[in-house]
Amino acid sequence: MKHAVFSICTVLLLTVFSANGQDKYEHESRLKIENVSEKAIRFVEKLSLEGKIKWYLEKGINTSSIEAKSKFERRNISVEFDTLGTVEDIEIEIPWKHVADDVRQRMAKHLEAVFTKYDVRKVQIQFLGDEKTLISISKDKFKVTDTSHNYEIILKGVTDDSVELYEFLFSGDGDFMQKAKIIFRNIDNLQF
Amino acid sequence: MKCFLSILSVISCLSVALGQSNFEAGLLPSININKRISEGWSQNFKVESRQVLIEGLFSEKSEFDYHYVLTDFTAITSKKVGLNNAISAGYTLRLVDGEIVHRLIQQFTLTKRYTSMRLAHRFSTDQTFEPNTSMEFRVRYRLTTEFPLNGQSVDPKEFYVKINHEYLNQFQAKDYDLEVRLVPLLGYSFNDDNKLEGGLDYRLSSFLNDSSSSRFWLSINWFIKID
Repeated sequence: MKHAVFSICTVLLLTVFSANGQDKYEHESRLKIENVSEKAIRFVEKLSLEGKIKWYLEKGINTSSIEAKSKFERRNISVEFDTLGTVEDIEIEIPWKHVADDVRQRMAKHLEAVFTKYDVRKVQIQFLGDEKTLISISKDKFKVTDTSHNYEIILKGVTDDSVELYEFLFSGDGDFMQKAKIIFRNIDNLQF
Repeated sequence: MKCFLSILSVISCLSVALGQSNFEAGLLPSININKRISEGWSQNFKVESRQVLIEGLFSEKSEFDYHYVLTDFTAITSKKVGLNNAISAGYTLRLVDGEIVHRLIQQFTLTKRYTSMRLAHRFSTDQTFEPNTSMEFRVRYRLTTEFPLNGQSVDPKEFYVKINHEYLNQFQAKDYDLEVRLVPLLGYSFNDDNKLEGGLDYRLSSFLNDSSSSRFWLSINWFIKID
């Protein structure tokens, strides 16, 4: 019993040192359709998506948004809204090799300059515009035309001293716009 | 605790089928502290205690008999060797029956992230040195899956389910045994650096011989990360 008390005391004492960490990541949680604005629901209905629509609330440090996730021609698609239900963009996943040759080469040139090696994990076309424009793009089966769009690319980037996952944003012409290192959630409870 | 006792009741009902197999049931609390040392390097400290509440044969009635068994103090250093991989080496000091047992640990972990779940493979070996006993060598493989009960990732203030399934090959002198573990846990993330998990830790061993040995632990794990 003495040992048991010692063990419990050790646990309690060590708990005092528990890091009172602040949330560093976006907080995403499922939303029931009853809690989604009518405006956002009506917009998504007009897109003729195939699969079940799942709604999420994403909270950043200073921002909140609502996201609808579904499928279109077996590809993952997500529609992002502000909290009032106004559409912000539509992202649809495509294979890296389906990006137009000249645009892909321009992006690849930039990535080759940054990394010694890289591996593209996910590519999404990000369509921008007002409701009318985005519905018109959906009727055109999300084909890339002269409409305003960007490419969001998730890739594993290797440099001389690190291997990390990054999110890059390129313009529709393949020009570099933004780069962010993806911070993974803590995996200590899976390792030990 | 009610759930744990219910599980014990189910075990009692299985006693006829399990014949002369023996069992142990008790508590297995642990605290797991992780500290980042430098880019790619981290240090893990773990304290785990084992306490038996009841033990005996499935075929016989057993009485409640609390006794403390052991405490393990473990330190493991890890090096990230890829986007999702880490190699680790460590040491466990075990205090049991007034004796000190030493264990050396080597492991490799590979973590995969999917849209709504995470999967981790852990390959490890360890060598245990106990006074007046041959060195025990173990080769282990553990598969861990974790999925959130809300949304697509485990966010702060959310519950999740974690399931460990492990195979341990144990070699000691000329003896060999295989132990299989199944550990379903319910977890809660206070924030990304502070998680609490609780559930059943079931261990089945000696089933290659005539009489198997089952151990049921109420596992309570606290994971803390310090930057």
